[in-house]
Amino acid sequence: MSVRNIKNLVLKDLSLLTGPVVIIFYIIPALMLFIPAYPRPATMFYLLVSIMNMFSFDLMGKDHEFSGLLPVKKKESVLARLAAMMLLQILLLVFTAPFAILSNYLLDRWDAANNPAGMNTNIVSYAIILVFYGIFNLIVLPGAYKKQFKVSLRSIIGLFVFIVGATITENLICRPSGGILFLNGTSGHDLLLQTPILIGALILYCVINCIAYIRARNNYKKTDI
Amino acid sequence: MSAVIEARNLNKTFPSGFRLKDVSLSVKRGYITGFIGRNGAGKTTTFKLILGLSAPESGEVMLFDKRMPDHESECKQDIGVVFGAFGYYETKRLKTVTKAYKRFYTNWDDEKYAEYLKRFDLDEQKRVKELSAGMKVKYSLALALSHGAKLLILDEPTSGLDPVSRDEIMDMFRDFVSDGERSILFSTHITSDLDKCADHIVYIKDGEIVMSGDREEIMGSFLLVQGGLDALSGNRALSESLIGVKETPFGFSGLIRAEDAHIADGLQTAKADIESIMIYTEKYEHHES
Repeated sequence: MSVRNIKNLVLKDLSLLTGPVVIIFYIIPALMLFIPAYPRPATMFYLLVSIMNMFSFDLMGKDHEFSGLLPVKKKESVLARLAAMMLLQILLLVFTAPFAILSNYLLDRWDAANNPAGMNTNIVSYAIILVFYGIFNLIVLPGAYKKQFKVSLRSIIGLFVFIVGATITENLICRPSGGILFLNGTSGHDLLLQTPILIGALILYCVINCIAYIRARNNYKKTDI
Repeated sequence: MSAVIEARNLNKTFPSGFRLKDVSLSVKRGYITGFIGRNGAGKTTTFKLILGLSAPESGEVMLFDKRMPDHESECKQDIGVVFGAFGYYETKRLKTVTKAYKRFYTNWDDEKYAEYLKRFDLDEQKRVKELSAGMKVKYSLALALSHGAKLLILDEPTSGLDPVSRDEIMDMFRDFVSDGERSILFSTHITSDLDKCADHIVYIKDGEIVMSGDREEIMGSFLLVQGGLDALSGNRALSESLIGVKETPFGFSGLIRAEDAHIADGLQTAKADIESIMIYTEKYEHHES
């Protein structure tokens, strides 16, 4: 596999299948973090709609056929698509992190620190989003390369699993008993204790995406363009 | 004479029931090979198998003496492909598409590309959907010709073009292979294009290669024969040797092999062109009862 090819394919996917409109899917979640009572997974949900659109644009623009004619291997196309998805997801988390810190500071000052609609925005909430982003990729990507990029149903299932799964997980965590109160905390000490969870989530995210890639690559091998 | 494309015994069955049967074809370095056949005969499918877009059930493809798909990316660096009119990313500007496309080619030549844009009167600020069918073909050609390709694989490259543009493109094709190192494989329904520039012809019918070889030799191996209906009914040998025959109330016209010319003594004969060979083989196929 060529790193240069992967990089070029990612740039192609971003320029031809997303476009400037993706910025909206970054600004909206960042601003929604300032809403005092709101389920946080719902704010991070919109980006997945943008990723779903990538596959729709692929189908409409016959991107898979165009990519098939380029001097790249089929498996490089699959890896690049996954890399583009992961890049958009991680970039969103990084982009919104300063807004999360600011919102925690402001909400604390406005006496609205505890989110009654779910978890507070902290490292654990980001870790949960990350894992469910991975699960979304696992549902959508292999299906896309099996069904000639017709992913409407799989995308809907992926979105449903993301929103329901992440919300349930958050609600289980923000109503803790015993000694796991720090999971919903936003203090410096709590955030420090939460850091290993983010590392664990990052590893899990990578493992899930590896499985998604292998399954998608195997499906694409058998698919005629 | 080395081959840049060597496809051997390709077989593929599709869910629709269509089958490619033992398709073998060879494209020689420095020559233009025309690939003909009716709609749905298997031309595009064969191209897709050659390019690795579909996997054959059996058979193998060698490009530049390298096995596909093991050497897919390096082989495709040297190939320019046109699949009819440019039908991708309809809402994007040509400039955006080209920027994404050229990154993949190490020998991309900006000057040459600008030259083609000027020659084809293409405006890079336009969106793909704003181009006419002919302009889309020209844009595809501009992309395919700007990265130093040694082989062009073109599926219906002249469809939608006016006669002047077609003629200009045929000249470009001849110019492209003139150094003896570069080659073209192209499919077309416009058989007059083949008369202008093809050196070799490969003819596919119902998923099977039925004819393959030098264009002049193929044309020289058939004769068109014309005469009255009585000549047809009274000459059993002629009737048996007809490959295709068209009967009208005034007489008949048919296609025979040149080696059977003696059978048509006294009848009007003429050299067959590619179009007549195709029409008589397909439309007026003769079944001796």
